[in-house]
Amino acid sequence: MSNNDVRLQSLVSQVDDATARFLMNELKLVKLASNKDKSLATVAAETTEIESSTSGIVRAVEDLLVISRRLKEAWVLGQRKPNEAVNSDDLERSRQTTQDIISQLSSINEWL
Amino acid sequence: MSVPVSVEPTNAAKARDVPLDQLIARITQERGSFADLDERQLEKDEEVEPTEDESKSATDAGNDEPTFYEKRAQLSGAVGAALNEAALNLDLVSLLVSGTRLEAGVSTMSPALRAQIAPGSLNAAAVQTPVPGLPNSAGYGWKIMAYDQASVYLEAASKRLRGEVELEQQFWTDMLTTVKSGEVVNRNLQIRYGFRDAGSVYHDKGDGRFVRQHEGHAKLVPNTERLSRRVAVSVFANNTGSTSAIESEDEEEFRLVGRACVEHSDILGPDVLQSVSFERYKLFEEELMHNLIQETRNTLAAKQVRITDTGKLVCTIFGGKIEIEMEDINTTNSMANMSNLNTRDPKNPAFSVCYALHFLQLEAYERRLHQWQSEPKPLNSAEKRASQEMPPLLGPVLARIQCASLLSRTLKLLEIMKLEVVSTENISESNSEYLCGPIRNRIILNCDPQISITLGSTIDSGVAEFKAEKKGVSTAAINDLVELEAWLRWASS
Repeated sequence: MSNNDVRLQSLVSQVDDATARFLMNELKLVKLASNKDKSLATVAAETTEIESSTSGIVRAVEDLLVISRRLKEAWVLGQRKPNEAVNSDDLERSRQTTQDIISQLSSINEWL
Repeated sequence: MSVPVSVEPTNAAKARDVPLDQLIARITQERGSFADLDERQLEKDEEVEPTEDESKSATDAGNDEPTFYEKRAQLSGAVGAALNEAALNLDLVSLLVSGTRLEAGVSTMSPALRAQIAPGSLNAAAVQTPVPGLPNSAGYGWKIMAYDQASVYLEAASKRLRGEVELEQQFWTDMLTTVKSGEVVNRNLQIRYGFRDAGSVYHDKGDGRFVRQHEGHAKLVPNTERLSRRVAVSVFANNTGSTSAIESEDEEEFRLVGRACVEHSDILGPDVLQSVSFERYKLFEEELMHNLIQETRNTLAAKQVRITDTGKLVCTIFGGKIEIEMEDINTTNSMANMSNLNTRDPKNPAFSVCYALHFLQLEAYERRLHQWQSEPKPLNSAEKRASQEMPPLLGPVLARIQCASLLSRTLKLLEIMKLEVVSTENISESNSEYLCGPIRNRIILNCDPQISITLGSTIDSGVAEFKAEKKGVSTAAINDLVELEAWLRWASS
């Protein structure tokens, strides 16, 4: 398995994991809404669970954001612009410019 | 002190109580392995035992107190019972625990219990204790409050994350533009903007990294902070006609005739590209000055170039001087304005010097890059690989100025001497690898026999300035115009 395949698999499993956590916490929030046949102590404990499920949802979304950043890193960075072939005319022109500039050096004596 | 136990059962009644396997185990525990038993020790035990038996029989007859052995048996029985009870209780607790936390319960359960009873099969009914003073409907209020808080929290988080996404988008747009423009950015957001890969061996490779600013834009943070300075070249003319820098230390004797620097040209694109380009520009200028100072120290110090205490290079030329220094980018403009000199005007005498130095540095990069790309010569080859030293930059520039000055003065001399010049030609060795090789000029005079004068610069060739030829026979080196004049008078007579 190539390096890229390993990275791809790891990213996919991370996406799956974060999505599963997101859905599970949402389901839990809905389930906790019912108060039927529950004692006050249970209800009190469930209010805390609601809080934790909410943070779980936010956490899962943050994880997804981090994964999206990694994907961008993999797409944008590490790739290199293909080397443009150096135009020999450009090279010749730049050499010519250098020679022109150098030949102008003698004119400095006119100022002294 | 341990009590020695005899190997053979001393008291038949007591010995019978203890099964043989336990007895052996006990003896092994107290006396060690059977292999360690020796004859002498057994004899010693036999000597001791009769007296023990006698004393025991005496005490048995005297009172009903239990013997040591009985007490020990009782103690061991009590410990065994306690252990059994504790194990039983642990099993019960484990079985109860396994109903709610399966793993924790099973791990402490005894194997026998685990084999016979399924974990979690023992349940205890929850004890309902009504909360005093609170109706059951209070639970609905708690739930509603909890959901309200959750909604507020989720809303705040969504706003925060939405903002974060926008910032990320901005950042990655910048990064994409940077990468598309040809910059090399690796996965840790590190960039190399310097010239190390293009032929430079300057100690600063020009590395940096990108960070995200508060408003989301990418920002380049160079690994080494450097001042915003650039190389500025000033050309001064000498008012008094003195040619030596030592003779004319007084600054007032010089008049500024030109000042030039290569300005950073803005490029199209986001700020981050501008900053990368600007950092590269600063690095180039810094390296150029460093190379010029190195060259002066190595080769030019004896050739009328000196380094002042402030790090300025002062090159004395005929009729003036050239100063090369690092200047703050913002102040240079004002100085140029003060002296009413346009730094971009090609007629400005400093312009050609400044640009020539920059172009020669580029040329030097190109040469070194070709060296790196070429295959190394065999180790036993006489032709060594070209050294990593920087090719000369300032030397060829000064040599050309000196040579041009010499040529014009020689032509003037010939004019005064009324000697007709047939042709003046540049006979510099054309070196295709390097644009700025040693320079030579030849003047051919209209005489019979033909006289030719070759002019060179002492800076780049290290030879005498003049060499004259008559009838194909060269003279010895001629050092100055006075000597040349004398020789010409002799030759043309």
